[in-house]
Amino acid sequence: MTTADIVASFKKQPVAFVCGLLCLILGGLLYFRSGVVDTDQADFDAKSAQAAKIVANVSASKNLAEQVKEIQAATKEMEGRLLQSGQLGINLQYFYKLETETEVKLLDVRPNGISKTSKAAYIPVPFSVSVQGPYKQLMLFLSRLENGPHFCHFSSATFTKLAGGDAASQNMMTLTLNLELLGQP
Amino acid sequence: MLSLKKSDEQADVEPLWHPDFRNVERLPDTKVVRTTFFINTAAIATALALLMWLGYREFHIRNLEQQIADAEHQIDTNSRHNNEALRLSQIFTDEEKKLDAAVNFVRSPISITEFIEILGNTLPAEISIESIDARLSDPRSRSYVLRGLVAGARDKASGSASAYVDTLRANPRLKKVFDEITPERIAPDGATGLLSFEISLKEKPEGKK
Repeated sequence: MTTADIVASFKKQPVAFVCGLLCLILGGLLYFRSGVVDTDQADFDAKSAQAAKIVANVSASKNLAEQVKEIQAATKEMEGRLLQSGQLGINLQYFYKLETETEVKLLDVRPNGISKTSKAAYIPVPFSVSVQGPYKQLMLFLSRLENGPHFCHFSSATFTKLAGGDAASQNMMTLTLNLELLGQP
Repeated sequence: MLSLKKSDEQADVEPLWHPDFRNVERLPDTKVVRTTFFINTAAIATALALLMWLGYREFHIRNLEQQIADAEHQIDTNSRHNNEALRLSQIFTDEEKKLDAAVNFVRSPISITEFIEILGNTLPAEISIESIDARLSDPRSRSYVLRGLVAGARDKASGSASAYVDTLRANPRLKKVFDEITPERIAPDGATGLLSFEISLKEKPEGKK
């Protein structure tokens, strides 16, 4: 097809020729812009999801600052109740103080080995404790341990009636405890 | 449609009786609706359809881009607050973990003092508990063992020991905490001559109700 032929066709059907040319251009544009919708849609989905998440975060965090302050205060108070694992004297003093307060006889108190493998912020500090006394005093001692200033977990507890026929030992009991107090390394 | 044009086939069939001087190419289109009209209509319709399709697509793209810009603006506006919220949330989570560690450390289905108090409240006059042994180190198999003596004639004492086990089993609080309450041993005690017993109480595993 020569230029003359093209010019002749154009002269014969000028409207159809222009429309055909327009169709070619539009078809090309449609082809080249065909990926844009998918890309933009994916971009919009990602951005709108991110925006919704951020807005939800912001609206949910209205009182977060106060809540953080409250929980930090609670943690500080809780950490004030932890033992310092290295302070053996002070830690044993806790049991001697309990002995005085509850009027039991502390037969033995011994710190046990601390497991060093744990990387946790808090560690259990184990003790073996043996006390003797009347039922009421022993229960008071136990109750003070359970509800006292330090967090206490019992591994084992053995209540035994004291053997002996005399009146003094009739009401006496021995309490042997293996316990852990929560502490900081 | 009527047409003055004659096809080449007709020309072949009927021999011409005089020379045909017509220039078919140059003859005017005398159809009622000219072929050019159909060609133009089809061409214009196709071009218009493509134009509308492209227009709709471009409008959609523009709309999407506007929405993307809005979302980006929203992200930029809230990003500082969001970062602060995330920082506070991380602090909160860390602090919560510390508190949870302490709560989990002391958590127990029943405290020893509460257990002993229940024993004290349910203990019959003829039974004396000589020892209580609590093994609580493994949270999956925590158990208590009671050892005691029953006063009275052995035939009645044996029944009293069994009745005591039933009393413990019937206690609502103990029923909630312990899976099994079983008499392990009921036998005469050599030292006292009374009937001695041993009752084992096994806690329910965590999560079982």
